[in-house]
Amino acid sequence: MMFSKLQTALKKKKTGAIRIENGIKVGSPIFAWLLILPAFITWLVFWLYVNFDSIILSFQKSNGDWTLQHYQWVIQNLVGTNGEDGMLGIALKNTLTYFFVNYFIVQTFNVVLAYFLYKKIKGYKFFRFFLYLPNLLAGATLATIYKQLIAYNGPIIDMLYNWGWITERYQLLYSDRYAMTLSVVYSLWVCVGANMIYSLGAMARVPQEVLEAAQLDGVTPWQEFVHLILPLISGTLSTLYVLGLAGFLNAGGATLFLTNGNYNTQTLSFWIFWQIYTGGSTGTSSALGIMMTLVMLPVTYFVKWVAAKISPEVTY
Amino acid sequence: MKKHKEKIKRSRGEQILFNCFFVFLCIFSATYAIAYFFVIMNTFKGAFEYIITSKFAFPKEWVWNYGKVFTSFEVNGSGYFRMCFHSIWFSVTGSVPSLLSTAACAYAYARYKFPGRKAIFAINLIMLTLSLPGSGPAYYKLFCDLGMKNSWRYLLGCFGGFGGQFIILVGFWKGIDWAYGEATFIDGGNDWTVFWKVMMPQAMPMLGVFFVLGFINGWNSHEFTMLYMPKYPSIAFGLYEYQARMQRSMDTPMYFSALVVTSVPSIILYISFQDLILQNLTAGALKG
Repeated sequence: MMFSKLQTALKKKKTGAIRIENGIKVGSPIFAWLLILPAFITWLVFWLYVNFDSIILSFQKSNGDWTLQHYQWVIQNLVGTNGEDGMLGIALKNTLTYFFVNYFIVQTFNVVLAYFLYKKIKGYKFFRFFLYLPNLLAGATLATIYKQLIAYNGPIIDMLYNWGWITERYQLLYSDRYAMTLSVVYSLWVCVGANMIYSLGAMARVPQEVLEAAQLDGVTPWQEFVHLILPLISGTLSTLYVLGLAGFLNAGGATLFLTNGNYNTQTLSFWIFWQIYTGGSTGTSSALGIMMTLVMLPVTYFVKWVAAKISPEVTY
Repeated sequence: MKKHKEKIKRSRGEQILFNCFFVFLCIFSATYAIAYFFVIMNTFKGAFEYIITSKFAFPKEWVWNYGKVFTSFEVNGSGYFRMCFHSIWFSVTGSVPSLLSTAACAYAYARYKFPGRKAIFAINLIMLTLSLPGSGPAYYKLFCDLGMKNSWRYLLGCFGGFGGQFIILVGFWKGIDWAYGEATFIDGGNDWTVFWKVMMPQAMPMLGVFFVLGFINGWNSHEFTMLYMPKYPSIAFGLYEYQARMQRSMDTPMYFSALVVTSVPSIILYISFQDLILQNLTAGALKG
């Protein structure tokens, strides 16, 4: 009993008037709030107020009258009329296409690539830099190169036409039929991103002793990856996958640089961005955004709940 | 003295798997290499030669377009150097205040008990997981109402302190031994002395990494200047605006030269700090 009292007293160290409990200082709330104040005020003004105003805008006409017409317009354009897809319906399909490609293919590829780099595949230093290079370039750079490569008078169409594989020079990015497909192909081409860096960083922290013991037991790379690496970096992976899902209706590609949203390549986030840029209706874009949030919110928290259930908290 | 390279021993199955993936990565890298070769080679062509000859042909007449970038490349009244200045300005002012604010906020949360502490973490979690795409128009309206569009007042919005960096920095601050702080208090230092003179220097490598990544992101970002500072175009916005306006009459080789020149700073920065970035960057798990 004396020993436990001594332990409790040691935990509550007193240094003059200073009290520190479990590494946290007690008794300086003013200083703590002074440090937080700039960020808190910015949050109040540029996040809380803005989102509140966004809800108000979605229910107001430009003259300030209350209305539901923005929501009606959004729903009408999502659902379409006379059996034809509405503009926002096409944008929604494109958004979901980008989401599935980015979330399941691109993200997974980044984790697998990180594993091979972590295992020091031949030339790993070169690949780590060279494959990440597109992320260091302005959005216009690789998109412009891609556009020039697949242009009707570009080298790829030239080659296919001269070999007789195609009979006409297609304007791939200027066609309703091909523009979206080629835009998705571009997203796959520049797929290596920050998730590869995060995954590689997490794998670098995995204790080597665990992997060495497994190798002595004769595990295959697949078994090592699935049964050791993935569980040990599950914290990082669940963060990346939850955050990836948090913006699933925000998914998109290089629409601005490739097609400017023409030829049925618009996504929902691009449409909102373009409304702001061109001075379009703030009411309808706010209404669309609110509806997107109402859909994304429960899905995000559900996935976060599932991730917490299936991925154990790992510390090492 | 030469470093002895340890040869990594792999089983037969591993060797096959790794060799196959190596071949795949080589092909993947080759597509980028071809694209970069295509661009760099065409930077040495004249505008007319680019149109009439094969895009993969070597230049018949070598033209130095890189000089033209600095004299002819102009968007919204800003030349290339002015756009570079705008990019540096926006990258630094977009990164430094935000970084300092985040570091201070994370330090306060990690090291101090105060009323509203749990609310601060909840705010951060909500901001991370709650994406509100519809706030763009309202944000733009606020920007205009506060006179921040095309104005130095945009700096008022640069002190954000929440997000993914907050979580990483909280973990970092918790990992630093509080004995440093206690020793400073014993020596008569106050909270500010501990934070600014003892703790912040230890955070410099990590903050440096965030600054480099933030700078590269700012350098390559076009959206901010496109929407909020069109009078002061950044180089990334300038590249988009130039090709959007010129379309068919664009001097493509000169434009390619601008792309190459613009890429150089981010590449140099990343190469210089690559190892530091990999060492310091790990996304923590979301808790709660």
